[in-house]
Amino acid sequence: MRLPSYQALGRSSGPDFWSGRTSRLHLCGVLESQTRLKDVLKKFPVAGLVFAVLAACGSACTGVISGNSSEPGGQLGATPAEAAKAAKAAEAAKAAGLTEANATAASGKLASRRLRKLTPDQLANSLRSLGFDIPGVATRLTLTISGTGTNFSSYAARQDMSVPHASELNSIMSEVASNAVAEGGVAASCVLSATASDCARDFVRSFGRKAFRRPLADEEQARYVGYYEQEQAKDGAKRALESLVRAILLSPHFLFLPELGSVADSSQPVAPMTSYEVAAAIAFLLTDAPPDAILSAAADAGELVNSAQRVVHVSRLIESPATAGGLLRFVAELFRYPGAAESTSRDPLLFPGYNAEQAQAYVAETDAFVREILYREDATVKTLFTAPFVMATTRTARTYGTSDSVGTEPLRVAAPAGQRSGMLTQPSWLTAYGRTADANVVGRGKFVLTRLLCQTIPPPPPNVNAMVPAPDGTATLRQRLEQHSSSPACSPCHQLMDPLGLAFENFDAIGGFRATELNQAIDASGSVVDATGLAYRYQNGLELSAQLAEAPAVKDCLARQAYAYFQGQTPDEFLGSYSEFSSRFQANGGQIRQLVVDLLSADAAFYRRNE
Amino acid sequence: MIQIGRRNFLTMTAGLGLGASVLRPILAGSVAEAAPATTPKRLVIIGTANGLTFSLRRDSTLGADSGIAADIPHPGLRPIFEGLRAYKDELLIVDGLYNPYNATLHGNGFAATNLVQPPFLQEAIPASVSFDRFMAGKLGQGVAFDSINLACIPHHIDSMSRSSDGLQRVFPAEASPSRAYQNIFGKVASGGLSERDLERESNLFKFLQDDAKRLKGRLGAVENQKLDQIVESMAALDARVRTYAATSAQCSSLASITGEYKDSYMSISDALIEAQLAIAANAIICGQTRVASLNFGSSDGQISHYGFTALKHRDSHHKYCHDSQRLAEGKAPEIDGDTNPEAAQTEIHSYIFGKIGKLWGMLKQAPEGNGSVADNTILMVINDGGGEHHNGSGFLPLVLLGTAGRLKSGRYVSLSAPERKGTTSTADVFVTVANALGVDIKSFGTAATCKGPIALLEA
Repeated sequence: MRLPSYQALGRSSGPDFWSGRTSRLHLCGVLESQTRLKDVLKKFPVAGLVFAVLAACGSACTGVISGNSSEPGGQLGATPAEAAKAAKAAEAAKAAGLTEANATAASGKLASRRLRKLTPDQLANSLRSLGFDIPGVATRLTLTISGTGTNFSSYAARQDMSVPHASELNSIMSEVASNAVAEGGVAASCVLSATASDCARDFVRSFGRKAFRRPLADEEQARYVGYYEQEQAKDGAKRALESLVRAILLSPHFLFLPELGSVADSSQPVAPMTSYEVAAAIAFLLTDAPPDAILSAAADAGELVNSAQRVVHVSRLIESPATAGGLLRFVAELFRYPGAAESTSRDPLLFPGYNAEQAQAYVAETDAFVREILYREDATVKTLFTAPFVMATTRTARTYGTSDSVGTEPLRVAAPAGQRSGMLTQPSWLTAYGRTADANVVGRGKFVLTRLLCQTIPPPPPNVNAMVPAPDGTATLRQRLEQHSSSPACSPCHQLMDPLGLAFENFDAIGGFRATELNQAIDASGSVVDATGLAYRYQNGLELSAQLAEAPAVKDCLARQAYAYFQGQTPDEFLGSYSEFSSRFQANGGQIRQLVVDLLSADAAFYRRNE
Repeated sequence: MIQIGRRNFLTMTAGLGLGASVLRPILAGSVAEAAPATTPKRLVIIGTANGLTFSLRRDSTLGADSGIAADIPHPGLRPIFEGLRAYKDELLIVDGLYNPYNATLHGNGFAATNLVQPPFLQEAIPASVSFDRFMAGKLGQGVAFDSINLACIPHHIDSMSRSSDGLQRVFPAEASPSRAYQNIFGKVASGGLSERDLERESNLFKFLQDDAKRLKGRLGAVENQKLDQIVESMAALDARVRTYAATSAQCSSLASITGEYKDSYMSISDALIEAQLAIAANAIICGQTRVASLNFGSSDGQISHYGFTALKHRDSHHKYCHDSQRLAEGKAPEIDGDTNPEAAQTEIHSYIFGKIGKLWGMLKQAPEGNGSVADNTILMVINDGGGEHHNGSGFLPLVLLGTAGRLKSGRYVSLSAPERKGTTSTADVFVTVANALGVDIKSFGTAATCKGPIALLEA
């Protein structure tokens, strides 16, 4: 029997953290959910009807079941005022040259004019492109910004310019400026120039163009030159140039990607981004670095306002892993596998020898694995979830049980038969969802449910012990989890997550394979039915992975996640408008690189609305 | 009290257990000892995690308002407070508090200092201005750092900050003593700044503020918040530069402090804690700041699975926290029985309060006027745990040291009975402390749950 779609159960009214809006957060009504749960289980007695529970729990347990709203142009819950504003925006979008389809998608769903902060890595790469290779810049900056939580680093709404962060930026740019005026530095020639002001003017023009990723307006140039001259009168050319370099590199025009659009008239509801803004957006999203010479030239020529031209440049950049750092970052942030290296806290008695180096090796191997999938394989969702190989190094060969000769760089070797295939059996991901002693079954299950199927799980209700009982030497993890999840307070939500997490029970807290626990054979089997009615029945994580690889719901979710990443928007900000990309993604067999080309060539991605 | 010069104090802190490798005199120079005309008030906030089992903090026979001037451990108080024995007359333990916004599981630690509903219960995301940052705005005028925020685990590993400047605006914590030293005292060590240096820096920060303001007209209200943040941060750096020279003269004899966090199962080393204590104490003493935070826990309400190397425990603070609570409730412990969890929990809290006592001792030994820096300081120990899952730490035992002349100390006060059902919000203590420090407020956080200053605590 086909289950009701969760969309029918009501749209999420959860808080929208990144946009700064806080809306209602419904908590679990335990008694009510129990009643409904019983009703549902009577109707669907198959063990592990997770999404039957989900559907019931959608309104009862939580009220927060996410509308992942694949309805085209869906604007659930829009007020009359919002609808009127959206209609006006759509009209203006059409007038601005958007296609009708995109104009519809744009109605009220475009990102507003905004500033997108460069990530620490992007900032380090930007400095490198200007000739400054300061060791440890990204790490220093990472220490002074807040984490992304479950969101992507590309979300535009981040607010990271705290005093400590600004102080760190100032410290870094002071070092950079000192290098710039030292012998051989980018500004050194102006230090001894007989015509210091003229030299500084040229420097502002050329250095500013590279730093701001666009030519400076005459007024801007005059302002920087004026600042230089003011400082030069008191300090001389060298110190004044240092100050000038700092002023440019601490400017919001360098630290952020301004997306202001080409229409200065704020009465216009929609404006296309400038060719330079488009170039910068494409470059940082795809390559994690500023535009290269070819893209910069295209921006100068004004080509990038044209969708067909964007396809050419996006396709060129995405063609090689060397220029697709942003795409790799998207996959890493989607799966959150770098989390393995962020905390290496593991019980040394249970995992002797496990340390930060091994965790970092795991992450590097998965980076290499993703590159293989995207560039040596067919770059499809199916291959990502089922590829029967791993990338091993001497540090981790034991984890894979491989006898192949491997070195310090990740080398492609066949995965142990029946043990590993695809992303969800990568040790980095399994470790990122591990605990000090145990596999994090609930975390793994929650990941599949929320990141790959785009469902929403609320936090545990107040004053409920959500901890799985610790190992006691007698009960397996599955048994301990069953005890735990049988609690009336816990079961509504854990029945959504646990069967999916238990599929990976063959992997311990550091991603090692195990066939038994406490001398009992591991039982990693389960069965679930998703909201589209698709049944999954599996004996282990490999079988679940293979079924997820084929599932339309997973492809829809990945399209949604990619849209969020490449638009830099929260799901609440783009409800409905990703559906055309999802449809194409389904139709082309889940080709990930093509999805990104589609996303970055669409008109709607490069128009901004006025607030 | 033995009177020692401030310069001597800074040098001799090595003898207080910080270790010669941590503190060694590297700079000469005169040190101003005269107290300012109006003695500044200071606030130190220590954040701990994982709750504190009721039975570990007091005996149920202890009255609701009991003097604890007798030796600690007082008959009604547990040994965890032993490290504060020397300061029992200045100790005020406030029990039975309730934080209505941090009652969920592991909680959102920012709720402990924001006192408003966090936007996400389970993520370390602030909803509002934290108490330390609020007080920084009031007490921090005219000093280089309106507040400093230190931690024992790096921010990117386990969000170790409870400080924030508003919704989504985390004020990050520094877990590297070496970096903290360089940032807070480094320019003194490198010879300070000339008048022209100050002017140049100030010009730059003003230019950058102007940059941000010029962009504001092209963006909507939400985006303008980012620009406001830039303007505020640049203004703060400008103010810091202008005040640094004046305030940092006090620090000219401070020896270099070094240390780095090393991630491992039991990762919080004694050396790192000692170094952070030295930085916090010296930043207060030599006038670089008047508000200092030091976090032993993380802002998601627990020291996840970390432990203290000095204690050589088999498991983490987090695990012992759960098991000691289970024991208190008559249940069997969950972890392997190689350690008595209640004993381990006692050792952990004794260790933390021992460190807190050491920090207070440093402030006590720093002369100011006719007394010490501690006379004008309140040290507050808060716990950011969630609800009953973590030992009922939503019902906080809050420890205060120092009175600033305005608090009635040497007491244990329980503000509710039965103990686990608090009705008085920690916000009321924050208001009481703010008032004691000369910051006259009637409410903090969400007004509906703040009743105002607690008369019972006031002298």
